[in-house]
Amino acid sequence: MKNLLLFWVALLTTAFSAMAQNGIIRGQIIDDASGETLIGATVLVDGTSTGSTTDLDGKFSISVAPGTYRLRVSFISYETKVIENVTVQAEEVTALGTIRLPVETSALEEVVIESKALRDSESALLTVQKNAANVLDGLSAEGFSRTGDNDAGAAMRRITGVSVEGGKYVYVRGLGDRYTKTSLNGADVPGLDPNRNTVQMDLFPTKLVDNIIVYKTFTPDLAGDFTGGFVDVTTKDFPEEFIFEASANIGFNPQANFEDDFLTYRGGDLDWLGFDDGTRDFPSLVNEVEIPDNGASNPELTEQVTRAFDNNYDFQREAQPLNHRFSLSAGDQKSLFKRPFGFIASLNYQRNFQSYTDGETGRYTLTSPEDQVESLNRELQLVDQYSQDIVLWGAMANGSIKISDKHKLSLNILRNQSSEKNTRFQDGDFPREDASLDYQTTQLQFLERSLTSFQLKGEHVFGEDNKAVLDWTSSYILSTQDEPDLRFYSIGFRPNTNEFEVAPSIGQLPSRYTRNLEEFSFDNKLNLTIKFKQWNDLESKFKVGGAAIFKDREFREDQYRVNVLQGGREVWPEELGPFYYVSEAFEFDAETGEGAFINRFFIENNNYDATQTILAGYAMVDMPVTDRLRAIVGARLEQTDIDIETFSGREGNLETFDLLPSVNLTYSLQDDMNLRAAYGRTLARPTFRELAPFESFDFIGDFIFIGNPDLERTLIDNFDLRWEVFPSFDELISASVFYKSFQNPIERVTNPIAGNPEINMRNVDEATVYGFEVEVRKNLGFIAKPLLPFSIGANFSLISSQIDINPLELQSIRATVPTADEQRVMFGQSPYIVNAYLSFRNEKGTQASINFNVQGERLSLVTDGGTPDIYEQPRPMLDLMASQNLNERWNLRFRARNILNAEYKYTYEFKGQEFIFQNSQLGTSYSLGVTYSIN
Amino acid sequence: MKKIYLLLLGLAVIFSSCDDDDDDATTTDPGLNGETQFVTRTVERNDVTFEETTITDFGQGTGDFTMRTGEVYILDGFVFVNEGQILTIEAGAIIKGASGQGENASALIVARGARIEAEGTAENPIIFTAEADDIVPGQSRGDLVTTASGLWGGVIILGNASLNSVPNEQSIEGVPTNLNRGIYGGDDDTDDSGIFRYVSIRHAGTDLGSGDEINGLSMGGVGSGTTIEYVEVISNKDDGFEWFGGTVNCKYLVAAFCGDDSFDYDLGWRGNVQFAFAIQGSAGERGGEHDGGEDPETGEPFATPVFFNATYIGQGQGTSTRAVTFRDNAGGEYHNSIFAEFGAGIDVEDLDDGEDSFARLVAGQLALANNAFFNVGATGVTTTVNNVTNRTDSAEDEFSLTSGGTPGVNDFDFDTEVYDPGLDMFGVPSNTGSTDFSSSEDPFFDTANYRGAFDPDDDTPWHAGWTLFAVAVGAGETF
Repeated sequence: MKNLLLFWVALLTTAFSAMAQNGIIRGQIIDDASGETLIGATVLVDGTSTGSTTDLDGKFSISVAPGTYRLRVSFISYETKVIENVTVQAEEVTALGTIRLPVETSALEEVVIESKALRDSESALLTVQKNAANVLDGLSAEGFSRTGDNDAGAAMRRITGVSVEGGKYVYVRGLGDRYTKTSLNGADVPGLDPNRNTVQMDLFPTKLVDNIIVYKTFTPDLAGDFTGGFVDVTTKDFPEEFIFEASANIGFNPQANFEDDFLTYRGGDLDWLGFDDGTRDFPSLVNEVEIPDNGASNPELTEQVTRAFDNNYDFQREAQPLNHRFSLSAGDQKSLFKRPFGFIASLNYQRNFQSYTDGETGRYTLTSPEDQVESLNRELQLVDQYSQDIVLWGAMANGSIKISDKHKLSLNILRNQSSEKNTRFQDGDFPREDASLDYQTTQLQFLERSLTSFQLKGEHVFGEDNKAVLDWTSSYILSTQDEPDLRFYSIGFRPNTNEFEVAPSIGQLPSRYTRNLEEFSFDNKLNLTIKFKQWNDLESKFKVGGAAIFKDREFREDQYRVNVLQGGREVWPEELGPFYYVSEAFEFDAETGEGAFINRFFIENNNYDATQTILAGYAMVDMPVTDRLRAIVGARLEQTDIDIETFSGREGNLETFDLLPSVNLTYSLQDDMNLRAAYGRTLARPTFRELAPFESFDFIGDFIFIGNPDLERTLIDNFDLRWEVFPSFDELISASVFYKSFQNPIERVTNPIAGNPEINMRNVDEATVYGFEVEVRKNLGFIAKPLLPFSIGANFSLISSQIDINPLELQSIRATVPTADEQRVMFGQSPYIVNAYLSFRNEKGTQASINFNVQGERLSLVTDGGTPDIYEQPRPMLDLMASQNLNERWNLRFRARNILNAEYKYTYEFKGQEFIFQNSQLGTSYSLGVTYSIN
Repeated sequence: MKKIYLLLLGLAVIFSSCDDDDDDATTTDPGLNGETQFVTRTVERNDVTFEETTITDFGQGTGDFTMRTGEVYILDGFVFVNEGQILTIEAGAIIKGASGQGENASALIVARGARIEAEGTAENPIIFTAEADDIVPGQSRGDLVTTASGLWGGVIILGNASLNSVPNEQSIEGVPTNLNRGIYGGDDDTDDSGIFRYVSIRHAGTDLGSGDEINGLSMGGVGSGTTIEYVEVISNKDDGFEWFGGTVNCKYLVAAFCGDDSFDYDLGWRGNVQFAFAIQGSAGERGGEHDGGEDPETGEPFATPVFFNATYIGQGQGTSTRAVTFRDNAGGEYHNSIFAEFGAGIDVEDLDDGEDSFARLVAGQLALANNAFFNVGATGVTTTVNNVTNRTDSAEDEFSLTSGGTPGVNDFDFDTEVYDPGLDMFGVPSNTGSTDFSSSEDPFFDTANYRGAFDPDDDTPWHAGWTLFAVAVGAGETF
């Protein structure tokens, strides 16, 4: 073993041969107009024969002795650029960044520029955006550091038309996550939440990310299952020079850190690492014996099983330390077997605490026709106390090698682990049951998620004049979600008798769940791009490709309840304390038959296996029709096959074959002004959970959720029109309108014939969404010179959505609200979104920004009958960031988040009054960080 | 899978329901159209040899089928009598529910448009019990402790009578809402679902997940043409009897030791009940939980059932038990009845505004007359009728009652009396005292000039012999 290690060390040392005394110059050449990389461009050190040609990424690397040089960059039919004052130091890398070559228009003199004027990566992305045939928006690594966002979820709020729910789930143009798709380096990432369709963006620390691009119109080379937006997160591959960064942050939220009222419960020793150490495992006995349904049939075994479980239902109040975050990342580019080898490795850990003790939970109903009453009837009103201990860490390694200038291979390994330890206690009035009753409910949860991804990518350029590019990706991703020993405990206290009570009429018997979800995803994609010249000799592209994506999910749930032999209702005096029912003192005694026992409540239907296979193929052409008009025309075929089967044999199945045509047109009004029009047909598939025909009880929403195996996929016709102008680098002004027509949209609806509140998924006939969005990103230097360090950005989207209400449901609504509309807004759709920022950056290394984000009220829960639906109210978020470079290596950063302490408020509205369904405030959090970085 | 295994072992005689050609989409369930399996074997136990038939419904229901005297039938999961089918149960047949929870719960469901002909006798009742209950034909009880509950689902009868919900069809509690055969309600208030007489339903009410259980006997939209009398529900984990809308009349009901409420109604039931006896064990909450409507609460027709001669016995003063709660706009009447040993008397819900049970009281659709109360209320204090408010303006209670049942702010004549009716807790409750009785023009009601469920002059009360409650008490058990 040791010898083997030595061998590798020796090999690596040899492979990364030292650079001797030379230094290295690196850079990238792109087409000034299109932003595309130029392959085979020549870079010469002026006055020598030393030089290089650019590889498939348009990159070059030249090793020269220390000194100051002029570089001459040239390429057929492009202007030649001379770069002055390129200083090279021994064993150092001089990174020039991106060099733009304009197409040669006349026999001009050479253009001479200073080397330090070159770097500006945001504008490179903007060039891609400007020239992309489809509508897209994006943010690059530099943008993240300007806004100070740590994770992709936070960063994405800056992008036009993007809103992020709960810091995690991305909505594009206010469309729900069903219509948003996320990929990592172009490969699907499975969602971790079984009830959601999309990835939690907070799993990606921005440190690991090179850029995030949001595509808003469909082209055939993109997967067809997005409608609002397709979010592609690209990780870094070839750093131009050695980079190293270490940072440490501490954060403080007066509501959570050092707060004595923080709720927590006894967990495992590894909770801080995002893992349960086995503390929450159910006793092994439960797998070894057949647990009797009822204590009466086998009292001895019942007692044995009951005693095997711990009695940990209680929670404590305990102050917690500061929030903290550490990250370490390094990357470099070396020669490996004399070929360029780039790598990035990163490790990131953070732990945050959130808490509130003055939240409110309420349930209200409309009991009579609306003209007979002035208010809703209060059924439940509780004080909500909730604390979260959130751990997230990620490790990533990416290695890329250029086998030759024309062949590149990359391997990316990613591992994310997160956990939430949630403790919640709610108590208050339950007047429907008994006006004097004090209802108390406790929830102890540990939610553990992981994502492990292996991704191999290749890119190959071949053919005469590098006309053909073949790229492929093959990824294997495992994601898991575990909820070990999720505990619910609901009791009533009756002040008139001074007794506590457990009873089915008050709430479900004390229960313990364990849930595990495991999903494998194997995602393969292949694209071939062939460049050609169209009739007017203009550069065009023809692209064909295919994809094969396989997913495999297992979901398991096991459940135990604490019960008494007679009827399930138990009453005990106050002196014995609220947790007496689940205490050791009251555990079942086989001899007397008295006490509470644990019985298994395994529901076969709540366990399912599912597979999804998607096969796709496409062809498209990307071609200028005239000098000013560019078109992408093509179509994609997607075959879907989803199967799901529960343990009890209930099945859900979806098989479709869809043709998805698309046309994107870009008309260049001026050099810096475009008009775009696009049509594309996309689809939306139901999630596994939505197809799974089992019912689960959602404690938080107190309704039953039942999947629907008869769901069909939704087809959407999308129309987009956008005008945009790019006044200069880093600046953008755009205005868009869009219209989307949905066929068979999948919506959450209530079931009007169900005895208890029940949410179903159903295909609704039709829905439409249309909207308007504007974006401005502008430097303020044009007003007055002193304002040069300031930039503003703002975007605003106005969206309207409508779906038809199912006739039976409408009938039930109109029983009390005769004038109710026959349509309602789409689930989760915001009517407006506003993002704005003001940023400051000067030459002395000072940066600051203020960001504001708000979105309009969104339909959050459809209620039974005429009771008003529940809406999530607008939540204006104001964040501030300031940072100062202390010297070349050290940077100090301060950040304040949620300065307005916005309310997370969900309400019913009736006759102008607001009734709280759920309301809480998380408080403002402050953090201070220090970063040490090399380059 | 288990069934196939049995089949391969050749233990079984198998036949299938044969007359089901009903393809009506609303009465069958998509993807569930398999033939019902009847697996019969001969069992010898406790020196009795009998046939035991396990019934598994894969979608086609029981078909026309007869459960015979002297035989045992095991319900394996939900067993439906589908629309158009008739299930006949002879006196003395024993039907057992297999254990299982959630959607594996076992229950007998007489679907809308189906018929049940279950006619037991006082000597030979039909017994529904748990599979775990070791009982053979001819025995009056098995070996389970009397109060064991929640061991199987229960019995559900569905019909075409009207409800006050919108829409006028609902999916019965306890059956997954995506099973069409669980839907009830219609517009035939004289609908006839058959006969259900001398039946004892024991140890049922298994937990179904999703926060609800199956009642002992659930009646959804059952019409007045149906005969339901002499039915006992004992040791059910949830409610004893529950009516969801409909118009069915019932006589001679026993609800003993149920985990929640003994008699419950909802969605606008308008039937009559005479001779209803409820006794709580150590569990149980309300003698009667009476809800008017749900979606909407003001749905019409209002719930206006009429009870004569009920006896409800709770767990004693000072407990959190309640005799009867009227809420969600429920109306209803109690006459000539006895309420004893509850923590609170009759609740009438009074909301801030809108329709509520108090409004039904004012409108004369909620009435209480000639009832006796004993040991009801907090210890040492007797209350009869309480206005239960969910009012924010509690100072403006529309009526209030001082202890002893004297009307306060507003005057309502509840015509109540507080006296000791001389009940022997577990034996046959007797009655003495009052000479004031309500009477009804409705021919359904027998003339009974006494309060409570039992005639003080009758030596053999109507529940003797065929109820497990009477058998257990007769054997000297106390609860």
